[in-house]
Amino acid sequence: MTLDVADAPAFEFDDEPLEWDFHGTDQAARAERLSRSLSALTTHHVANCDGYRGIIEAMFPGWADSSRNTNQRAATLADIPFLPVGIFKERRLASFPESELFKTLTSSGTTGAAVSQVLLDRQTARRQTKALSTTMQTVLGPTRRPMLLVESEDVIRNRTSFSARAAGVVGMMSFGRAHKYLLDSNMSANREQLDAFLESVDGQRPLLFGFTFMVWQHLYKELAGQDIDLSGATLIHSGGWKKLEEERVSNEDFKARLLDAFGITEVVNFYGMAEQVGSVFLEGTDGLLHTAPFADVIIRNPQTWQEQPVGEPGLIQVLSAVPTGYPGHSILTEDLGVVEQIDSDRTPHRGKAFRVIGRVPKVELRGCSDTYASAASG
Amino acid sequence: MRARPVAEAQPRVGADVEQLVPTAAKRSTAALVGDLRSAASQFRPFDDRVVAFVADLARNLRRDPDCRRNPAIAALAFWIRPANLERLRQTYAAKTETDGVVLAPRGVVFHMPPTNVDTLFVYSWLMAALAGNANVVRISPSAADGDTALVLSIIGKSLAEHPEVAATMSFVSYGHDEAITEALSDADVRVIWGGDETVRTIRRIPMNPLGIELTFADRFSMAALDAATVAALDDDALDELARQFFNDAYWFDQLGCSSPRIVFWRGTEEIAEASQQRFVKALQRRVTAEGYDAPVGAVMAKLSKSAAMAVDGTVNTVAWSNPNVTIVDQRDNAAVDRNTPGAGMFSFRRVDALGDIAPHIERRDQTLSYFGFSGDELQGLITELNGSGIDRVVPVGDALRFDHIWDGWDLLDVFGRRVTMRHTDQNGSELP
Repeated sequence: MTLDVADAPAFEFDDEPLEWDFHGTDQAARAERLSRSLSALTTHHVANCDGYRGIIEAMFPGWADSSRNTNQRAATLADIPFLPVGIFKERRLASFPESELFKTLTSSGTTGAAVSQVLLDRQTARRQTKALSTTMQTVLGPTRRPMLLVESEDVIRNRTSFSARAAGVVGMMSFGRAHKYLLDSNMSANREQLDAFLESVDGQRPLLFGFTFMVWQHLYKELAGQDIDLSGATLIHSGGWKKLEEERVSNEDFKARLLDAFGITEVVNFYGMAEQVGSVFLEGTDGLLHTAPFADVIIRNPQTWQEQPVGEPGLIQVLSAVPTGYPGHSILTEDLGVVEQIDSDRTPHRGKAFRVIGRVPKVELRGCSDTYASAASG
Repeated sequence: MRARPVAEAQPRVGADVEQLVPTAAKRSTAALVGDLRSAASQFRPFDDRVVAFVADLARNLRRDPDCRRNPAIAALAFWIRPANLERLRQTYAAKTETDGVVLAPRGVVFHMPPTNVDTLFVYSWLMAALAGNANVVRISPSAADGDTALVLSIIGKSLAEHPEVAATMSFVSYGHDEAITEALSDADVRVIWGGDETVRTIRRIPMNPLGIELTFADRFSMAALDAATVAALDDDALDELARQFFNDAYWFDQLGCSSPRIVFWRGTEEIAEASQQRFVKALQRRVTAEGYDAPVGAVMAKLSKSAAMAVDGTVNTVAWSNPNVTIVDQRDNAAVDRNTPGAGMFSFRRVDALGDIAPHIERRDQTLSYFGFSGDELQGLITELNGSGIDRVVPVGDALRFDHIWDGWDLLDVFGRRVTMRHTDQNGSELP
C-alpha cells in the first residue's frame, strides 16, 4: 500500500464543532450545523486527498467538483458522501503531506484478517483528544479520579505497535489518575493489585475502564462473590457485545450483575471505532447510545441505501467533525443498529438515541475456492 | 488389500474414517483403498451396471422435489441423462479406435472436492466411475448440511439399488486429518479441487508413487459481449440474454471458477455505453425476478473493493445503488483486478476488437463466455492466446455447464490408462 497524501500543507480547522453545547439543541439544528461542517470536510478531502477524490468521482459524482465549488453543501446530513469502513483496510488515505504524519492507528483485528490503518496528523490527534475529553466529562466531570484498568500493563507498554485497543486504553487513561491494572501478564485478575487500588481510593469515587468482554470475563467472573466493594465507582466500557450475547448476557443483565457483585451503580457503555477515534457515542441513563454534537449516526437500509425511519434497523453510518487529516468524517460501518428516539424527553440529551444490534454476519458465499473469506470479511 | 514388501514404507495408519454412503459405517483407512480396488477390478469402462446406476441417479435427482427446485442440481441431473451418457460412451469408444490402444481404468480415484460448490464433486466422481474406476470421495464435515447432503442422500438411495456398484464407492467425512488423507492417497488418482491454498496443502501429503494427481486451483472467468449485437436485440431477446448471464454469474454467488467477473464490451464508446445501460437494466430486472439477495457483508465487501479500485484510479465510475448489481466501469488501460468479492460485482471494459482482450489474459483465466462473435473471431483469439490462458470458450448461459473436458483436461482420458498392444507375427510383421 502506498501512502496517498496531499502536497499542500494541512488546512487548519477551527474547533467550533467541538465546543457546541453537548446536551441541548434539537436534531434538526444539530443536523443543520453538522452538515455544514461535514460538507466543508468533504470539499477539503476532495481537494487534498487524491484517493478520496478518486472515490468521490467514481461513486458520488455529484460531489466531484466540490474542490472547485467550495460552497457546495449537503442539503441534508444524509447527502454527505460516505466511505465503506473496509476501505481503511484496503488503502491508506490522508489529506496532509507525508512529513506531517504523526502516528498510524491500526485496528486490532483477528489473526490473519486485514487491519484498518488510520493516518493521523497532529491536528487530528489533538482534536480526537479534545472530543473524547468533552464527551467523557459529561459523565465523569472535570475531576480526575483513581483509575483501575481491566487490562494488563503489557498491553500499553509496547507503544511502537499501537493497536486501537492500546490507543483506546491510553486515551481513557487521561481521565483518571493513580492508575492500577487489574490483570497480570497472564491476563488473570490480580487480587493484590485490586486491594492496593482499593486502599489508594481513600473515599474517592473510583473510575474503572475496560473492554466489555474483559470486564465480564475477568472482573465479574473471576472476582464476583469475593466481597469486593466498588460502590460509588463509575465503570466505562466498550468493545461490542458479541461474546456476551453468546452467553446470553444483555446490557441489563450486565449492569444488574455488576451492581449485585460489587455495588457498582454507574455503568456506561460507549460505541466507537478505530476509524473514528475520539468520536464516541455514550450510553445515557435510558440505556441507549447518544450522539455528541459534533457527531451523528444515520441508519441506512442496505437494500435501498435510504435512511431508515425511527425503529427500523439497518447499517450504521457514523458522522464526525473530528477527523480533519484523513477522510473519516463519514463512514458506513459493518454494524447494524436502530435509532430508537429522536429528541426524547426521557433524558436531558437531545438528538438521536440508538442501539447497536451487532456486526453484519460474516460472509460465507459459495464458489469453487474455499479460501475466499479473507477478502470479504473483517 | 494389496500385499506390500515389508521393507516398503507404510503409510501412517490413520484412525477409522466415517463413511456416509453407501452405508453409514466406520471404515479402516488402511484397508479402504485396497478393498475398493478389488471391488472395481471386474468393471470395464462404461460397464452396463455403472451406466444403469448413473441413469437411475439422474432419474432420482429429477424426481426429488428439493433437487428440482435447485438449478445447479437440476443441471446436474440433466447432464447425466441417458442421451448424454450415450454421447460420452461414444466419445470414449472413439478413443479406443486408434491403433494398438486398449483403454482400461486406473483403479481407485480419490476425490477431494471443494466444500462450497454443492454439485461439482458429482461430475468428476461420475467421470471416474464411468471410466471404470472405484472411488473414494471426501466430504467436508462443514458440508454435512445443505445441498451437498441432499445430493448425497439421493446418491445413497440410488446406490442401494445397485449393490455391485455400491461396493466400489465410498463417500467419507473427515476434517483436516493428514493421516487419513495420506492413507487414502494410496489411490491411483488423486483429484484436488482448489483453492490454491488447499491444493498446496494437500500436495505436501505423499501419495502412491504409481498414482497421478489432478488439481483444480483457483480460476477466474470473464465474458465478452458485442455491443452492437446487444444493441440490436429486441426486449424479449435482451431479457433472455440477461437470464442466461444471470445463470452464469449468480448461481454460485459469482465465485464459481467459471462465473464471469469481467465483462468486455466490443464496440465504439457510444454503442458500448448505450448497450451497457440496456443490459444492466435487464440484468437488474432478472436479479429481482430471481429473488437474489446478496448478503449484506458481501455488499459491503463490494463497496470497499469498488472504493479501493477508485483510489487506484483504475475506474471511471462505480454504479452501486443496486446492492445486487455493482458495475465498475474500468479505464481502458487499467490492469485486471482478479480479487473481487463476487455476489454481483462486474468490471466493464470496452475494447475495439476481441483480440484486444488478449493482453489482459493470464494462465489463471478459465472460461470466456461470449455473445455476438463469429467462430472465426473466437478461433483467432484462441490461436493468439496459444495456451497462455482461457481453457473454455462458450456461449453466454453455458459458463457453468460441465463437460468431460475441464480446465484443459479430458477427464475420460485422465481417468483411464492407455494400454498399448502391438500384435506381430514371428517375423515382426504387424497383424491386425
